[in-house]
Amino acid sequence: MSFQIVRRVTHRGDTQLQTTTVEGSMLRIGRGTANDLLLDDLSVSLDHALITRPSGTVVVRDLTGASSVYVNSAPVMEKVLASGDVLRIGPFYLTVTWSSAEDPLVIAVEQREAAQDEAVPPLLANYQLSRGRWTKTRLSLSLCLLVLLGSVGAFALGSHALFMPGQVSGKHAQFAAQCSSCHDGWKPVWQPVADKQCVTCHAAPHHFGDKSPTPSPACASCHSEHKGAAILAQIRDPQCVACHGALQAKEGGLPLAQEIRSFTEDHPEFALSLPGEGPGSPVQRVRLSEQDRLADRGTVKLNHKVHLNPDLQGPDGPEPLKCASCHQPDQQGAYLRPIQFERDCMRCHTLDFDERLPGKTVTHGKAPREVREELHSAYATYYLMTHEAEMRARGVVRRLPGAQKTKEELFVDDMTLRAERFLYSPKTKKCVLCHTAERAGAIGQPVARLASNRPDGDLPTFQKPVIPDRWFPHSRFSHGPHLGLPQLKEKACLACHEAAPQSTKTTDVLMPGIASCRSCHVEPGGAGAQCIECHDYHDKSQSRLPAGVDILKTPQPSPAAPEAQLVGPGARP
Amino acid sequence: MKASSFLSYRNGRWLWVGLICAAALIVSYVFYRRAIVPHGGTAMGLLYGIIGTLAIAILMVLGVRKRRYSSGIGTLQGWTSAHVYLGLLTLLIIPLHAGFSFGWDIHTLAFALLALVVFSGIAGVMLYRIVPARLTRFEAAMPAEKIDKEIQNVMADVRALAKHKSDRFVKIYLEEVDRMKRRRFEGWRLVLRSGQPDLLSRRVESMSRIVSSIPPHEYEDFQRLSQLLIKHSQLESSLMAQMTLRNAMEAWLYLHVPVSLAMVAAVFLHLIAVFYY
Repeated sequence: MSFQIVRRVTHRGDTQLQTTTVEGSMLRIGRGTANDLLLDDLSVSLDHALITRPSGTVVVRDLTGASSVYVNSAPVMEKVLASGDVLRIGPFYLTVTWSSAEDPLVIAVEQREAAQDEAVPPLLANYQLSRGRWTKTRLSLSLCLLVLLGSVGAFALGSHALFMPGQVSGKHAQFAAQCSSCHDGWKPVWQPVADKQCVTCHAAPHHFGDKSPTPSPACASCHSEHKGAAILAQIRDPQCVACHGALQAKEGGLPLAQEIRSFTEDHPEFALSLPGEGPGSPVQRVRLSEQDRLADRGTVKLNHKVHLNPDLQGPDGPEPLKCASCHQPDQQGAYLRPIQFERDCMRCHTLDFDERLPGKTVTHGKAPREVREELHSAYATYYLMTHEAEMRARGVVRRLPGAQKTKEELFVDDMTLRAERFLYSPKTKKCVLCHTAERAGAIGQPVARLASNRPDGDLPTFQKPVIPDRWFPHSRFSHGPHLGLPQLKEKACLACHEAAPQSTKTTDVLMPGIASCRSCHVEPGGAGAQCIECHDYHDKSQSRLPAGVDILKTPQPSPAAPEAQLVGPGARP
Repeated sequence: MKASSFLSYRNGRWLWVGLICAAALIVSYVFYRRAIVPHGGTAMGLLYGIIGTLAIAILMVLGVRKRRYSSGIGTLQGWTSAHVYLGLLTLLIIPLHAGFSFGWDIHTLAFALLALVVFSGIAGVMLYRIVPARLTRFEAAMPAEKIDKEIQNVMADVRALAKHKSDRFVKIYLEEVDRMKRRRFEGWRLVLRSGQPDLLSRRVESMSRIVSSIPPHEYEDFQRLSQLLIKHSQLESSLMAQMTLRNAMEAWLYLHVPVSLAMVAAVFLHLIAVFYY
């Protein structure tokens, strides 16, 4: 059994037929060198076909599994051949002939290329993405151009918001498109906008800047625009803690608040601002926990327990008092109105001085010298009323200096002295009930000759009445929202000012401590406990307004009226 | 060689590097956020920005490394592995840099483009895991380049058959050649349209339509012609199927690369804008 292969071979321009004989019962055809018939073309598989001669027949078998052997132009998987059949494998045409079953099988191999005139275009290029119109390079260039030109276009059309790193706050939004309102040219990103830009509209005083060893932070370091904050004044705790977490203060400045990180955790007990011990001495800061130094230095005596006694008697019978009977909120509803004698006390604490003159009182708040004048005129009127005939008979009398006093005058003097003794006596508890005499009077006693220059030298002098008004000036508080809370409706004021009904001493301080606030103001989950909930950075310690005053500068008036220039409250001179 | 070896290159070395860096970044951000309000202009914010810019620069180098045959800076597989994990890391770095504040502006555009690049990259990685196995099944039978040649050979056979036959046969052959010449570029249609046209049934159908007009003495030749043309359609279908898979493996790059360059342009604009503001 053998196969004879006839091929046309071109060698050095010389073409000749080459015949090879292969022994064996099968002929392996393929691209691989192990094959008997080597068809060297890429479209031929490694082992492409097999020709066998079982029992006298000639069978060709496709080994690729894709029926890519063509017998007389028909694709086959396995076929019995007849002599003269033309097999096509790739570009090779194999003509198979034999004379008889014992003779060798002759295979003439011819290689043909595909016809060139009706050139069949390769299909592969149709499907390859890289042959398409949109290559990666073109797409990249187009997209980059789109981004760049789009941005330039948007900028040219005035849409500056596209380039802002974030939205501008609510109040500044009206001039957000005019960047030059705040920005003064190119600067590195780590440098905030200079303070002088802010100060063109705002006049915010600094925050204890003289006590800090480092320069005051720039406006923009806390009030950062373009961060999407709707309200620029809403500063978050980390900004405050950046300094107050480990505060460096100059000698003698701010000894109380050194390391505070949060209200809930390490805010110290509240401290009061108490007036100094003597006149002209500086304000003292005393913590509510320092019991030994803590004292209300008000000079008007008050016993809360007596006043809050449920069996209190008023002028018309039993009249139990509540906190609100005397303590009313002020106009803004934040703090309480200062106590006024005429409005809050006089109903019960009348200043009548003589039962012969019922309803006649001396005016509160006048110096003893003026009270004396009032008493004089009251008694003079009384004498006139009771000695009508005598006065009419006497007519107008002018007493010359040195002459003896008239009966009337002696009466008036006498009664005045009696009234004064009554008013100023500790036993009768009129003035002295609440006021402390600085210099005790010596009513009716002869006084030294020098003092006769001052005819009232015998009158006592009382301490200037001082009732503390703002206990915690470095924070702001509003009673209004707290009184509206349902959980406080029952106990009202006593929910926080618990010690009031038991307080007997004027020096008792009835301000609630931090624990009282922390029962609700706790983070997370409770009422607001951020620094700015109660504190302001810009010192407004003298302001009574809870929400702070608008710190925009008012327009400058003409130079003729310089005293009208306002730079906001609390400004340091 | 494992199929996903570029993901697990050297025992997943770049995965571990990526995870450790991510952990370090997150921890640093937690402390940073507690201290001050985070945004791009703080010291830490700028640091994150610098890290992000460096990362993007390194990621772009893959485009260069991939086109060089050999290089002194490491294997292509190593670079690809690093590229994948570093790319995922940038999705973390940039929001940390911005302090998680976004808006309708060029800065967020740069990030949006970056996100698009990373997601297309993730899609690419997934394609690289799924498609090659499917493609091998086809390529074992006959790869795409060979099919092209084979189709040419089939057409040569058709030509040889039709050469000495009636006009009808020649017309069929010329029409087929014409159809092939008139083909338009279909590379994208393969990827974007689901389901390919059933060329085989169409061919069978068209042959059965023509057969009615063939005279009886040419039936046998016509049968041979039909078989060849059916084979042609089979080959074409196979080619289309293979190219669909191959194109799927390449198509995502047509998003990934152009958008990454557009992103670089946007980052450039972002830098200009923040240095003014």
